[in-house]
Amino acid sequence: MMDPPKVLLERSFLHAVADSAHVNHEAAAAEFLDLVTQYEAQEILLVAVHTHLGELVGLDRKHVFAPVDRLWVGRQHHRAVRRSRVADDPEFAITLVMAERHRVRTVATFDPRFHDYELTVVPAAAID
Amino acid sequence: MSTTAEAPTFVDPSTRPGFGKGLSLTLRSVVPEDDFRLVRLALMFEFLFVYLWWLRVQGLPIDRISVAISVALFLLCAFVGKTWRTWGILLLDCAFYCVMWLAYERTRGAADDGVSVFGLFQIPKQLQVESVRNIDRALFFGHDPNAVLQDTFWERTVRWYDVGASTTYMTHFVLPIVVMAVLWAISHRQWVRFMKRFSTLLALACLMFVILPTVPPWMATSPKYGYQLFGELHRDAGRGFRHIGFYGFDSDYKVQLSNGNAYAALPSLHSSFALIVPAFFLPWIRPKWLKALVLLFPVMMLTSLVYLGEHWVIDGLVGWAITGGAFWFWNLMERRTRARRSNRARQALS
Repeated sequence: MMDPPKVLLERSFLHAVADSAHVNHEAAAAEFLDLVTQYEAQEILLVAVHTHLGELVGLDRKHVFAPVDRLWVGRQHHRAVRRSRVADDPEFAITLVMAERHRVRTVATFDPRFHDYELTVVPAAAID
Repeated sequence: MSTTAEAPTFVDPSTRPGFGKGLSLTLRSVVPEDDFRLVRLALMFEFLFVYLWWLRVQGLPIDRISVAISVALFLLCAFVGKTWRTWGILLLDCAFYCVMWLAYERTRGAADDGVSVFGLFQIPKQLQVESVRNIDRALFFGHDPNAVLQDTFWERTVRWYDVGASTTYMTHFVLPIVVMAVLWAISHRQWVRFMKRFSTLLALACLMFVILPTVPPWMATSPKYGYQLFGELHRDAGRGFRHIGFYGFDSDYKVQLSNGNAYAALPSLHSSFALIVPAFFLPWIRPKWLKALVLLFPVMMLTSLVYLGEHWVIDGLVGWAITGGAFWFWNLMERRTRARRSNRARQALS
């Protein structure tokens, strides 16, 4: 409500940014740098599911994802995943649960399934 | 950095079934809602009703213990059903909150005994009495603002402006605490931002209370204390509040922790707290007239304090200055933190 809008960096996007050999790395890096500029101007907050970010970096803030805050997953979120309509893919479901709980409206992703939801999906070039 | 995780490759969304046909799903339609959200809302409304009832029947909780209990009860309502991690963070926050207020209360002893600097030497207690009065007189061309306001407006009977001044004065015990509690409930990030500024101004104020213990105007004019710088001022900050049927509530606990430091006039925390709240919310207020209106509140507070004989004008001005200083410092720090984190991201990708 009082915070700048949150942009959730989804797992596929995080991996694309982190891995220079990834097929979507260039698009992801360009989009990420644009998001970082918006973050620095206090226009948005960058967030990621803590387990997804934890696959790539440690808890310190001395890495490429230094501006990204973690959305910590608790047992109640896992329970919500099991009760969700997308429970067959827990990683996808946990992202949706955390997006819903934290009122996220924009997701940075290369996973096309997010286009099925009322979310703004970036990179914008993906739908051009 | 490399990854072995299976990352989906890009699929043009326009090729997906339903794209562009308005078939987007809401998150709520696939994800169950937080079961406790409505429970929390109901409990918080219930708390509000009980608080208002208590205010009407028992009075406004003003001592530290009563305020702490009311904040704790509100937080219980606001955090029901949240994750254990969130509760853990809340406990740490509460510990910080308690330490901050205990440190504030402890300055009374330090102010009474003088200050020992690393055990090397002692700064004796040097009460400021005439210095602050002289500054006020210099600011108001030889007049004492406290005396002028009371001579002009104070009457035997309670007037409408007494109610206004007294109510404004009493908001000091509620407003910052309500803001903290609400921020705690709605945005931990904003709570942290508020508390950084609040605790900084409180620390600066405590330091000044110890180094420059200052006699307030009511004491400086009371025959009881022997200063009598000018004609005795009336001192009854609560009379307007009582006139409309409200009272301050002090718990009966033997130890209330409210060891108010009578020499803590400079800076005025009433003025500081009255400024920190509107100043914090200013960025969210769009219309300029509304910004100006909310900034009238600290002016109203300082005028009330001077009229009620509680503070010198300079106390309020210094209170505003340290509030401004706390904002300046933390705005700078937060900007630097964002810049440092952003640069790390840029460097890692360059």
